[in-house]
Amino acid sequence: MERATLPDGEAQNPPCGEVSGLLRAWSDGDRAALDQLTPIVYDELRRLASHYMRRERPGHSLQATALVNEAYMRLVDYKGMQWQNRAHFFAVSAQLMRRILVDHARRHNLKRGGGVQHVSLEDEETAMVGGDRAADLVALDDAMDALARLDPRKVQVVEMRFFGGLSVEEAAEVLKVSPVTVMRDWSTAKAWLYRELAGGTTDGL
Amino acid sequence: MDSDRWKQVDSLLQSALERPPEERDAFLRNACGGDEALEREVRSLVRSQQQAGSFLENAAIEVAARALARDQSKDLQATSDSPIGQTISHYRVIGKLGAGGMGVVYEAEDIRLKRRVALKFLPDNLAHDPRALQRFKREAHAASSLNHPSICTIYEVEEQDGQPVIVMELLEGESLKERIRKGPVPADELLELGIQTYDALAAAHAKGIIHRDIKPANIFMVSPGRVKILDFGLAKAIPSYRPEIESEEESLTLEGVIPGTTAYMSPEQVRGEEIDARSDLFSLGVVLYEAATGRRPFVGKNHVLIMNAVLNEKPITPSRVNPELSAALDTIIVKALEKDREQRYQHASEIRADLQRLRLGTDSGRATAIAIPVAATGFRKRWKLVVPAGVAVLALSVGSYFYLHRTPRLTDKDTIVLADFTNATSDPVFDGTLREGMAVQLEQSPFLSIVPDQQIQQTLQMMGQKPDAKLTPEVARELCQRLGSGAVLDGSIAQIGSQYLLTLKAVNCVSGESLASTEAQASDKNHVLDALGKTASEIRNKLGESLSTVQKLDTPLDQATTPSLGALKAFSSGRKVLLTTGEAASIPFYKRAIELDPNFALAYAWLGVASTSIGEPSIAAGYTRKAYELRDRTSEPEKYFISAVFHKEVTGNIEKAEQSCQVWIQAYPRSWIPHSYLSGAIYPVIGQYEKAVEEAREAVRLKPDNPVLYAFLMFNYTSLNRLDEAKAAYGQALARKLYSSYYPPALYQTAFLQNDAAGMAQQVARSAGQPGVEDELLGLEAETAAYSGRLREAREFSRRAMDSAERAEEKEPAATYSALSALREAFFGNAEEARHGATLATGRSAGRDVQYGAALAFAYVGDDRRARTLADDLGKRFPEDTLVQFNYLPTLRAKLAVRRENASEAIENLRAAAPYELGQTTSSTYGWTALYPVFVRGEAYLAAHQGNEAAAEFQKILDHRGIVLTSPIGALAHLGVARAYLLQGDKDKAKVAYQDFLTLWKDADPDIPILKQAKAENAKLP
Repeated sequence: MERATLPDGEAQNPPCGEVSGLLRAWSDGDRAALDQLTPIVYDELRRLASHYMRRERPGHSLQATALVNEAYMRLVDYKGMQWQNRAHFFAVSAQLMRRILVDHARRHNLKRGGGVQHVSLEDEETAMVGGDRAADLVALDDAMDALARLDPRKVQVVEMRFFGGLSVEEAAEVLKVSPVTVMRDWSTAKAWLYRELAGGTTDGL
Repeated sequence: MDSDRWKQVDSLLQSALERPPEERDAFLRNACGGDEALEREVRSLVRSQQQAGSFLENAAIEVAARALARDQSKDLQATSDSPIGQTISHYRVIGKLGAGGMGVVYEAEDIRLKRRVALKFLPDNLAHDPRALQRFKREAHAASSLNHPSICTIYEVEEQDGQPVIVMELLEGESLKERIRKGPVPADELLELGIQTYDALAAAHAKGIIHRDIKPANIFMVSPGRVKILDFGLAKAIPSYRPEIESEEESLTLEGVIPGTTAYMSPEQVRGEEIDARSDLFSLGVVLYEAATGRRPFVGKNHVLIMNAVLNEKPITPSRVNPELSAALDTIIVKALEKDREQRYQHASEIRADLQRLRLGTDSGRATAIAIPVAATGFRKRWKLVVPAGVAVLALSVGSYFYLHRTPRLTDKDTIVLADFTNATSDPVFDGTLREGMAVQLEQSPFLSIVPDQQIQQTLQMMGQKPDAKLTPEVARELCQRLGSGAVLDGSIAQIGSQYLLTLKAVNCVSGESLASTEAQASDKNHVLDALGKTASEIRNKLGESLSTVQKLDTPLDQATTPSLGALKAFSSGRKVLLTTGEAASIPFYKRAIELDPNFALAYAWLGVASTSIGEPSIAAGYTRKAYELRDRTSEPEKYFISAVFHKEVTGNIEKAEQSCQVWIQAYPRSWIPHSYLSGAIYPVIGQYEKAVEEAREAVRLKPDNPVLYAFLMFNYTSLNRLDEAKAAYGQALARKLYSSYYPPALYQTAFLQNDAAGMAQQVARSAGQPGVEDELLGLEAETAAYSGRLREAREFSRRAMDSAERAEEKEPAATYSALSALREAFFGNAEEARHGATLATGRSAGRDVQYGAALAFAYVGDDRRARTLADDLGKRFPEDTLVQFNYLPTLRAKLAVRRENASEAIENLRAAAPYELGQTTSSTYGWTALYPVFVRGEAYLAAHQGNEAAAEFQKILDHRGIVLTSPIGALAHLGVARAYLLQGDKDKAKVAYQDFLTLWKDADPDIPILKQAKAENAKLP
């Protein structure tokens, strides 16, 4: 199999197959692959960021969602991949995203308020409550590690949905459980992590 | 916490969440059995779950990107000069296509949709003028609402560093400018070009958008016979651009190097006046002239001289430049180039219609009859050869666009099969409901086309399935493959606690490849329809629809249908029953739906349709009126549908009904329904059969497998006496193995017109025993018998027709046969029988057409009082009704005037009917009220002793056999002609006409009064 390399200079939309190959290499333990993957994700990140800078239309979910989906589509070649199975691929790319984004956040010292909490227009009530208590990606990463000690599958669900951008259906396929189970895991994990990040107490258990 | 304890917490949390909030407290207290720590933990998580809202619901990369954006927003640097290689939003710029006064255009790849697009940037010198920016954005947004096959689509308006960027369709081919360089465009291609471009203008003008810069460089020939207009409205956005800035690449013509755009300006544009849509019509006229002849109509060595020519010179007649052109085309182009805009075509649709007529080869002289007016002198005011600065509102062309064929997700030619939603909840309220809701949502899209249920049913049967089989993803995929559709949409709903999760996925049914997917959550059952609407909008965009139409034509589902899940459930059950059992069975479901939601407009609309079908026109009118009142609570296409039906069926205002259909067509160029409605129910009523044919053909083009459309073609061709084409239309239907209950009456009529007794018998035999069809054929047989004076036979057939209709529980047709019998007796002079039939008819129905028939019969037999009462009532009940006001009432009043021996009043009365006199009621498949105004006018002229005029009227009836068909006035017109000639003293011609009548009635019952009179009159002749 051909080993793909990135072009010099600015990473310019590498073909999906290339990313796919790097991902596979990374999951097989090739740490150098991560060094090559990171700029690709950063590039995407910058591209998205510049989009937000140009048009801040909060709550306009149609655009934003399409954009993010597209980011994933560009990064990972859902269709053309020749992995042992889709599930494996999804799992690996979700881990990768978590790894890279959290590293990026650590390095850029993303401050509170710059992070996880995005309140859509439908949730005005939450905005009132949630407001300043928003947490960043680094804190989320830590909280996820804590939850993983209790219930690793729930963390996997969060990894896939939040970091990997997978739908409920896709996450269910990866984890070989029903979508309903994924939704249950998701709601418990969200409740737990939210409490953790919002500084809530665990009422002494 | 150990893992067992955690499992307990998790499970209790889920159980609590599955309960309604008000029950959770008691549940937890009970389930924790006094373990307070456990209870507190679960409670804390429940609280947290409620507060979490959209926490983590946006993908991490988005969250990170937003954070990064905030960090970097201060030191945002402008990008380098050339955007090539850059990515703007989700468009990667590939290369430059051209530049001009309107800006620079690049080719780019839409990474998201994997298709090539064109990006247009504002010219640099304008980029810093905030007002220009505003204007540019506004115009671009307005233009992006245009969705027309002949208008280059603007997908969206992006921004790059605060600069607007127009994202538009990339076109392949050559501009008309390049095409004209090769010489004149051949006539047929030219007509096609004219029709498409004027059609595009009509669509744009209807939305108040004027192009302002129509010229060959802005018209692209994308494939043989298909053109697209570019840059709508942008000229207005960049007013500082003037012809002086034309690039040097303008065309070389015989006159030498001359500037381009000036030559296409309208006189009012040259004068710097306020312009309207008619200016575009002029400019396109110039383009047509140039395309037809290879040279421009207004030429000069510089701008000023060209402008002078535009204002003051009359162009050389096109056919003198290119002798191959027809006089009819000359007339059209000359009219388009009238200097006075009042003298020009007033609407794009008018010139389109003239061109279309020319193309159909049926131009019967209307166009040639238009006198070429002498150039209007009013505008020859002293035009100073000075052009004020800023007068010329012009813009430059952009170079070539090339469309590299890439497969987008779906094209606007694909259709979609909707599968049933997989309902993973235990609640049956979602069965069928969600699919119906999704269908309503997606039908708002002018881009997507859903395979209609009727077609799905037929295909299911071919697959050996029951017509109401559940459309599982597998079944739907097979359907999609068989139908050659582009994609199948699978949806699902699951319940998680009190929440619901909806998913929607579009799959290419051949490759199985997933084209797009989306999901949405509903916090509770009441929000499921909201969530459904969200998934629908999202999938439309993801499948390639322009964002502007998604945003514009996207009435939320609860407004487009109903906020009540129960009502939607009842409604969708009704729609299902309609397909499997029939209209009557669907009615109780619709009624249930409006009981649950008294504002459910769509349910009223379908109640109206179902009630019409079961022959309850007045009940139907009530429902349709209600739907019309509530029409703002429906989606766009339903709104058009409701308006058209309301105007046609309730008020009878044909003009408004036609307008509704026209705007419907403009908004949804892919929909066949408005074309079908125009051809079947609107144009025949006002006697515009050529337009009806045109619409039927368009409907067939859009929907070739709908059997009814071929019937409309057959009826309308027959009305035009074009029997070969009527038969050919039937041949087309046969080749597609289509059948409609309209075919037997249509074929019977063509057979009748060709004196083909065997053909008629064949259709009668074919429909025998078929409820709802049999009676129509019996009715036709009755009329046929009466046509040759076999009155007893006619009475017998009418009786059988009434019986058959009553057996089929069709009240309106039964009443119609009574009215027809009454009229026949009245024409023939049997007053007693006529009165009896008319009384019977009005007792059976208060329907509009029946009442008219009865009233006319009373008027004929001298029962003036009853005739007048019925007429007055019609006038009051249908104040806006075109047919009543302009056909029925003038005819009735005229007949009453003739009886009062006031012939001139009668003739005066009938003047109002003249434009509509070829129109017919369409309440039955044969237009039985056709040409009565002409017949009565003939009688009035006879009474006024104006033989020539009377003969002309009766002759008109003989000349329109395709419309008169089996109506007895077709036979009696011979007698009318005979009497008219006798009045003129032309005994020879009179004799011939008497003979024609008596030959036609050679087997007639001898005791018919009018026959006895005719024989007596004939006998007196030498």
